[in-house]
Amino acid sequence: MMYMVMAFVLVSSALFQVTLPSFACMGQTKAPLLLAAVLYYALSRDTPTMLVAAFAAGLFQDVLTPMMPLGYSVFSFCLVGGTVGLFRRMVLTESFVTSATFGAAGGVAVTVILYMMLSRRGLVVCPIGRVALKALAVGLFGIVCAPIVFAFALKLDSVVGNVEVRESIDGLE
Amino acid sequence: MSVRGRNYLVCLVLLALVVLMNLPLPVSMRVKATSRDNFAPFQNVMSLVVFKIGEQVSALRGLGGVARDKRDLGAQVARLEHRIRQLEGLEQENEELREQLGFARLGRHKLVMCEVVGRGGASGWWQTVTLNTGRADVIRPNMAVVTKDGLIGKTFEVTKHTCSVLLITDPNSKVSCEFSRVGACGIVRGRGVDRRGGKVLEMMCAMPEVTAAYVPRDRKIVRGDEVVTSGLGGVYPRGLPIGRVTDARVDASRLYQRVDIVPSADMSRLRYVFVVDTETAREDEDPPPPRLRRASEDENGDEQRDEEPVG
Repeated sequence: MMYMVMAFVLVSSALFQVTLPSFACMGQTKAPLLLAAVLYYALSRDTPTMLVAAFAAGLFQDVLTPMMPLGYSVFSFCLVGGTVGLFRRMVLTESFVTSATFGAAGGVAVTVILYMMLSRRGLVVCPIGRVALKALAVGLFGIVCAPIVFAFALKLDSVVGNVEVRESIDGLE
Repeated sequence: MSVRGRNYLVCLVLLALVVLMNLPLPVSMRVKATSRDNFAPFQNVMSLVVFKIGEQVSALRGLGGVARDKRDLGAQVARLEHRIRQLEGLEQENEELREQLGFARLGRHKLVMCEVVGRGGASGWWQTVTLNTGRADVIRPNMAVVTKDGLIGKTFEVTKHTCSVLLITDPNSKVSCEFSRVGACGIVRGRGVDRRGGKVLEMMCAMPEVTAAYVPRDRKIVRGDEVVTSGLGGVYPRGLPIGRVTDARVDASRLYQRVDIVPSADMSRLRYVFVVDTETAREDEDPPPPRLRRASEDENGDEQRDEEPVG
C-alpha cells in the first residue's frame, strides 16, 4: 500500500510540476514538487524506500524535461535524499519548519548539482548570476511547496493506514 | 523487509541508476518517448484545467478594460478590412505576374495545428514547449513551428503523441535570418530568460528578446526593420517572420553588427501553434510546369526543398 501511495504522490507531483507555469522573473524556475516528495520519503522512511522514491521521481523529471539526459535528476535526487535522510532521527518530519527548511536547502542543492552536470556536458548556456537566481527561486519555492507536499503525502499515508498520526498537547506530533 | 532485502533493494536502485546514466542514446530516447506518451493524456487534461483557471483569472482582471478593448477592436477591424482590399488587388497582380513568368504556385505548405500542453519541461532549464501532437500526426524532428504572428521554434524529441519545441529564445537555438529591407543575413540566437517580464507569470507577460549575430557591418540596420528566416540550413522555410529590430551596434570583433530583435510571436501566450509540414505540401500541390522541374532536377538531381514561403 505504501508504494501505491508513493506512486500516486509522485505522478500527481510530476503532472503539477510540468503543467504549472513558472515565473520569468525567477529564472523560469519550476515548483520543486517532485523533490519535495523525495524529501518526505527521506525524512519519514528508511533508506531503501527513499531511494526507490528518488529514482522514480528523478526518472519522471528526466523524461518530462526535453533535452535532459536520463539519470541526471535521478542522481541528484538520490544524493540529496540520502543526505537529508541522515537527519531523519534528529527532526520532526511533520513540522512546518522542518519541511520548509529541507525544501529550501534541497532545492538549492539539486539546482547546483544539475547545473554542474549539465554545464559540464555543454547542455545549458547560463551565466552564474542566472544560476544563482534559479537556486534562490527554487529555495523560495521549496519553502512553499515542501510543506504542502508533506501534508498531502502524510494525509494520504494516514488515510490508508501507512502511518499512525498521534495528537499531542503542543500539536507537534 | 529484512536487512538483506533492504540491502538488495539499495544495490538494485544504485545499479539501475548506473545503467540509466550509461544507456545508449537511441535506447534512452525510446525510454523517454514511451514514458512521455504514457503521461500525455494526463498532461493534456491537467493543461486544460490550468488554462481554464488562468482564463478565469484573466477575465476577472480584465473586466474594466472590456469596453476599451471593444472600441479598439472596432478600429482594428476597419483597418484590417481596408488592408484586405489592398491585398486582394496585390494578390491578383501577383498571380498575373507569376503566370507571365511561368512559375508554378509554390509555398502552400501544410500547417498542422497543435496545442501547447507544457512549458519548460519539468525542470525549467530550457526554453521549450511541449505539444500534444507527435509522429502519429506526421510530425518529425526539425520542423519549423509558427503562430499567426511568426516563427517560434523547431521541433525535436518527437514521440508518438507529443513533441517538444525548442523556442528561438533559447540560447541553444540558432536560426539563419535575413533583414528584409537591406537583404543582409545573420544568425539569430536566443538570450534565455528576460527578467523584464516583471512579477507576472511567464505564460502571461514575459517577452524575451533574441539577438542576431554575424550581420555584415556595411548594411545599415535601423530600428523597426523586419527580420525573416533566410531559408538557409534547410530547417526553416524562407520568409517566416522572426521579429523586428530594436537596436543594432557593432560587436566586439568590430567586423559584424549585433542586432537586438523582439520576436513577432508572443512567446508568453502560446496556446495553439502550427507545425510547418514542407514534405506533405509538395505531394499535395500540383506538379510544377515542365520547364521549372527540369531546371531544379538539373541543378540538384532532386526536388528543391524547404525554400518556399509559407502560404
